[in-house]
Amino acid sequence: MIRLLQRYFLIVIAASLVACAGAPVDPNDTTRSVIFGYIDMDEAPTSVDWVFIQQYDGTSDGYSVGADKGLFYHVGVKPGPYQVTQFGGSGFLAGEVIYNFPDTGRNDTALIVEQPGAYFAGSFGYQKIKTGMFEQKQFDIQRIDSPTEAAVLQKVRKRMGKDNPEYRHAIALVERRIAELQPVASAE
Amino acid sequence: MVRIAKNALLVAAIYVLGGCAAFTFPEKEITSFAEVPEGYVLLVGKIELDPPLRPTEIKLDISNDVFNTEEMMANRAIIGLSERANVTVEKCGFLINPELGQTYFFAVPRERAHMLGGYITVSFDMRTNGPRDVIVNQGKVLVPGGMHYDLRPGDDVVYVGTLRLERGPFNDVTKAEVIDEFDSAKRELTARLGAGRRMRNSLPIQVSAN
Repeated sequence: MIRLLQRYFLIVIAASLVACAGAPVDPNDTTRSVIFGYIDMDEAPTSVDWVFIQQYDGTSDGYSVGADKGLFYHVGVKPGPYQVTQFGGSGFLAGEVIYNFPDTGRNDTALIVEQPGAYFAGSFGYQKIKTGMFEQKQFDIQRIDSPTEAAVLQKVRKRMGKDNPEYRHAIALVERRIAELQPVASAE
Repeated sequence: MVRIAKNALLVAAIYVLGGCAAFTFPEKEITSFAEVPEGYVLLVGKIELDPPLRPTEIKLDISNDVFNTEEMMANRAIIGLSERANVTVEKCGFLINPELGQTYFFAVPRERAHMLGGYITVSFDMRTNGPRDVIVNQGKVLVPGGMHYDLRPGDDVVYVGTLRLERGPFNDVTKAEVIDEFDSAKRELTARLGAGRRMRNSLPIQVSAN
């Protein structure tokens, strides 16, 4: 019964976070930007199903976005300072779990959206911390080098073409950023 | 169900008070010299946040607020004062919570001369998941400490300056400085508590970043 209530409670949280996303983004609003990132949860007891991108200028709470296989993006955020403060997912044994990034001060995902563009929050990975046999399990969420921004962006582009084809402005921003990164990617 | 509610309330109290500062209630500002106990000094100063918090940025969602926690948090700092420098704000046992941008008047034990720093609450969100399961999210601006106030025997009123904190886009403090506004603080002291007491200007020197 308690487990059922817990699940209900988490659904309510998830619903309230989705509600934070506000009205749907106008696909033709050229003032908007794309925020994207990746969280590798291969070592984790849960997946990542949603990510909350908090806005810090007081004009809105921020945006809750869905995540699939670690990939997350939002098709149209307003200008302002943002960082990921929470994400969550579920696992067979772990149930529903919410993970927190620090939200006191700047964390590793912090970015400031000024001009319309595609902004990378980073690639992160769940990493187990070795503890003793009878000690509590510990973990950390660390920034990782791979996948690179270019690689994540390619996945975003593919996904947007399939799921959000009407967001032509957002797709153009992503393509522009891919083009900007191409010399870097080929040099690598 | 009532039991769950009671437990939840208890846990809430622990988080609101204990989570912030180990059950220590912040001191109340004094309104007359007669309220300053023997062995205490009247500390006068100000804390400013630049840019100030906009009303839309402050998000305090506190259900069953029986301790009036929201009033303690809204547009106020929580600052720890201690006899020793090497103690945390959570364990120092003496807190003041000045309103931001306003001159404060707190009675402080003379030996509690170490300003440990503290925080300004920007957002507070608490969800009770069960009798032993509470989720708390608290967004803060961390106030740097590491300052020592020169509180001498015989001091009645000591002015410690305006601690101005420049705030970055993610509520990080990018610069901290102490500014001397002695004359205006003196005028305010006279207006609020009356004349007749000597206020000594004693700005702290050391300000360490977080």
